[in-house]
Amino acid sequence: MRVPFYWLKEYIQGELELNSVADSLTMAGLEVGAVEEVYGEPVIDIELTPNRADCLSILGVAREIKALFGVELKKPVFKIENEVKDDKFKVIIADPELCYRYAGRIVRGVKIGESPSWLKKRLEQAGIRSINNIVDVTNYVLLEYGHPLHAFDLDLLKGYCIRVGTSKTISGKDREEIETLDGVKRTVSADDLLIWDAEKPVAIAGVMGGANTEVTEKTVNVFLESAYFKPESVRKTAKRLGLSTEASYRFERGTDIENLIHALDRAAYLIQQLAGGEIYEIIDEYVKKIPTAEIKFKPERIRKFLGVEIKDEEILRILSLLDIEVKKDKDSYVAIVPTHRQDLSIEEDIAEEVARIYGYEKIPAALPQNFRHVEENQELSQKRKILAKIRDYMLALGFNEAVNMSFMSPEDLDIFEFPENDERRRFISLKNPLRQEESIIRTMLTPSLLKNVERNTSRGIECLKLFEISRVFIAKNTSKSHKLSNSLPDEPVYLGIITKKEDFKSPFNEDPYDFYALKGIIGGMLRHFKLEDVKYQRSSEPFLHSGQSSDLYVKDEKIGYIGVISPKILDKFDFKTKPYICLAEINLEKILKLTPIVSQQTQITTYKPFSTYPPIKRDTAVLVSLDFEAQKILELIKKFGSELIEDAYIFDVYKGKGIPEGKKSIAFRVIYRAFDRTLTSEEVEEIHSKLINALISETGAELRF
Amino acid sequence: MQESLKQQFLKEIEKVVSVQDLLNLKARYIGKKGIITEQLKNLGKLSLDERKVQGKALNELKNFIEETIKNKEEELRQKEISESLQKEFIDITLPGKDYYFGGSHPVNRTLIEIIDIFRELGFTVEEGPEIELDYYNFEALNIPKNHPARDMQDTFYVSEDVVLRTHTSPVQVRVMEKKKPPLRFISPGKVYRCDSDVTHTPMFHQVEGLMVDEDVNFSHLKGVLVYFLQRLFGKIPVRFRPSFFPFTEPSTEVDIGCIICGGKGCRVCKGTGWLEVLGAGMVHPNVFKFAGYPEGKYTGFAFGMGVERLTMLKYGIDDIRLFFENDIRFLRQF
Repeated sequence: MRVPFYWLKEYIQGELELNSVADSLTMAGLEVGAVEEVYGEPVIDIELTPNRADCLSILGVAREIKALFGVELKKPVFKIENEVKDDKFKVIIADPELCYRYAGRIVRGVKIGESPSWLKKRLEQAGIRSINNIVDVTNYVLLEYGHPLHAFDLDLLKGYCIRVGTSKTISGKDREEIETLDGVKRTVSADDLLIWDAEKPVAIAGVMGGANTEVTEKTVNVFLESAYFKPESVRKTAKRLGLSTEASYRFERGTDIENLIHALDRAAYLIQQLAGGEIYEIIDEYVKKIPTAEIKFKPERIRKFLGVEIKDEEILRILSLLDIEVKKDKDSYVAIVPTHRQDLSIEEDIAEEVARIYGYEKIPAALPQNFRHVEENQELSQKRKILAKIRDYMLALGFNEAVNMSFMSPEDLDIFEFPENDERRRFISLKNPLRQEESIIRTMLTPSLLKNVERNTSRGIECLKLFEISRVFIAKNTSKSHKLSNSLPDEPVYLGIITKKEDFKSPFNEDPYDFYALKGIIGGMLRHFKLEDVKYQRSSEPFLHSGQSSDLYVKDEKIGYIGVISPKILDKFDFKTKPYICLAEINLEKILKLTPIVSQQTQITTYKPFSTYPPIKRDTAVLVSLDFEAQKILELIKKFGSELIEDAYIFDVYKGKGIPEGKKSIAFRVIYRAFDRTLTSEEVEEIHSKLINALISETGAELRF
Repeated sequence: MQESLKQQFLKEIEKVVSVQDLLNLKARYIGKKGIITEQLKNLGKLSLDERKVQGKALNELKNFIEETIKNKEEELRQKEISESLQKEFIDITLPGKDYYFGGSHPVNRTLIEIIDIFRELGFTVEEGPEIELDYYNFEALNIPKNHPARDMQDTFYVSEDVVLRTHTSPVQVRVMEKKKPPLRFISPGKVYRCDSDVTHTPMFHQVEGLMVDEDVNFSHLKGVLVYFLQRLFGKIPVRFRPSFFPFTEPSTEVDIGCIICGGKGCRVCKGTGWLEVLGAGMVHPNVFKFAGYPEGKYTGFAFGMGVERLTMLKYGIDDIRLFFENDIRFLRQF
């Protein structure tokens, strides 16, 4: 709401100072966004909250100033003289539930022309374009009183009447066409409230007038409308049409049903002043009253609710400044709400009005002293702790933490070549996305992370490590049951990791960016959470390098993947260089479910005694074919099941000189140790050769000497 | 005779340069078949007097040799160690292997800080779905369909009944459905509005809080929020302005004295000296009604804040889009 300061001052008795007005309005909840100079005059721009429809006018703001400064209000003074009698013009309200009151006046013999410069200036300072003297007056009064008015060319209204109703009620059709004043042909639905003459719709009620009855330079006689339309109805219609006007903005927030007569009279008077003509008697169809709201309140409760000692007299004084009448009712009071304050309905509203005018700053700030114990959401805090730990782990490993928008492009799913039945195609899509590339909600983290890498690379970053911990959104499988419009998706938390290297050089023989680095990081995490039965199987993900990727299983359930991106996919991104990109994505929800730390509330870790006798180590190297997977050796050792085997690990993989073509050598160490004695080397030799024989016969490996 | 043997030994040990040579020398003199050992064995052939004299001299010589070898051995070992120390030189000016902390995302950093402060005040943490029913996001919060307040929040719709939550307030409704007061929790998380420019992104983070009990009042709201803001930003001025939210009554907007210009007025505070950082208010009775709480029994306050905005103010970040580009030169600074 733009308020030229000099115009505001016209309605106030006494002096006002601009800065103090602006500050006071802000501190009373009418936030002043800016004070601008327009045509040499300061204009206050107030950012009104939707509840304060009463301040959508200069007089409304003046009324607020009156309460804040305790000054007197000067309402416009005018008198309509020599009204002409006429009982032929008829107003019929066909839908009284949508239009509670419809008033009008005819003005005959007007001379259409340009408005005087003072009027044009005021409109433009308030942000409204000048059209002609008649239309300008309706807009001027809209700004002055806050009530929207409409002027029809009376001679274009057929049948000398106005009917108010939906097309359902009036014409029985399920839609109507009407060209509005902005020259757009619009289709309105059966439920939209319209204004009709005897034949056709002539305006969309509360939103915009029709072109068929527009006031033009040829107009001589006008019919002025001032009505009350139900806010919800205007809002629905304006939304449906995507059309918000000064009028609809006010109607949908609620106008003052009692005030509309004053606005009508004021407009008729000003038209006569500026364009001449004869004013006809008022026509007023008032079919539905809005009951006066009465709010019971107790000063004691208000004091307790606000936490401030404010005297009864002070409360009553503030309410009277706001034109709220108060009656005493036994041990409490009843506030009678004026018609312009439709936003007040409960005791808390009265408390707010009191606090607002009293001053929020005068209410003390006190920490609550009597804390009653509040039970923590154990499950959630356990989960949050684990997620925080994983985050810290990734940060400590040198990964930078990314946060991406939850959107993705439907195209991403095709780029990644997911088959039709893949879970990641079970996405949620938006009805009103900002952009096509952000039209669905992501079902995986990798596409965003890849875009982060692409952007960093385009900015010349050679090597980088990123991770993101975030929810993804998987729609419920609706193939079995019928689709429910209100079914919510699953929102599991995932960990996404990406590393990129390019021209990586280091004085050391270590590569923190390769597949094994990522595998080690994930393995370390799974070990920490004591997950058992972890398996790595060659990945089936279509977007990963088939030779250098692995799906990750815990207890035979797939929880994610680790791998190098497929060159096929990489080609679809805009990399000018040849990067090596490694990815991992893990469903942390499954880790949370499977980890004993969460699933068993007590006895998380039990101490296991360990042997104090010395170990005996045996190193063995075997020759196997190149596609042999080392995991088999470790699995076999486990399966062998000797309780004397404490640990086993691979320590060397070698191919090349000294090794036959098509073969590689894998060297591993087995550590033997007994609980109750020092093992002899003969004893270990015997077990170890049995183990090696079993290994050879199951895998076809050859012993390498 | 022993004297010449001693001289010969001294001459030989002089030439010894390795521990191995020394061990060989030791064997030659006092080993099982060493010169001295042999002579000691032969003592029996001598007369008693002679045996006494020779025996004493030989034993003295043997002790002398043992002692000398021991000293020499110590000397050689020291020498070997210092040689190997010299040989095993590394260039300690080369950089260490590449271990470092990654940059934490500044928004998450602020989020954690906020949660920690509210934990000090005895608040717990609750979460809820990001894709939410219209009912929880609006209706149960006193925002019916076709209410002008829906314009305050540009909503992403999934269907007629499902939206991307526009605030984390639906978590409050979900918690109130399950729990009776006292309630004292915050709900951090991602929220969505269809809006995109220098100060708005379609996704951002919010922390909302709720405290409900039998005697919670507006003064407590002020106390808790002043404590929070001064813990987060230091001893800055805080002011409360009346405002409007459909789910609170009275409602307030909370400003802090501009931390960029110290309240003098600058571009960031648009010359006002104040920065809006929080929205809050006393919970509207209709919200309690939706939760099924007995009428009039409880009062409470709720508040909400945008984490990106607080982070931008805290670190002097001037473009909200930087948060979602994930340029590592940005992330590494946090």
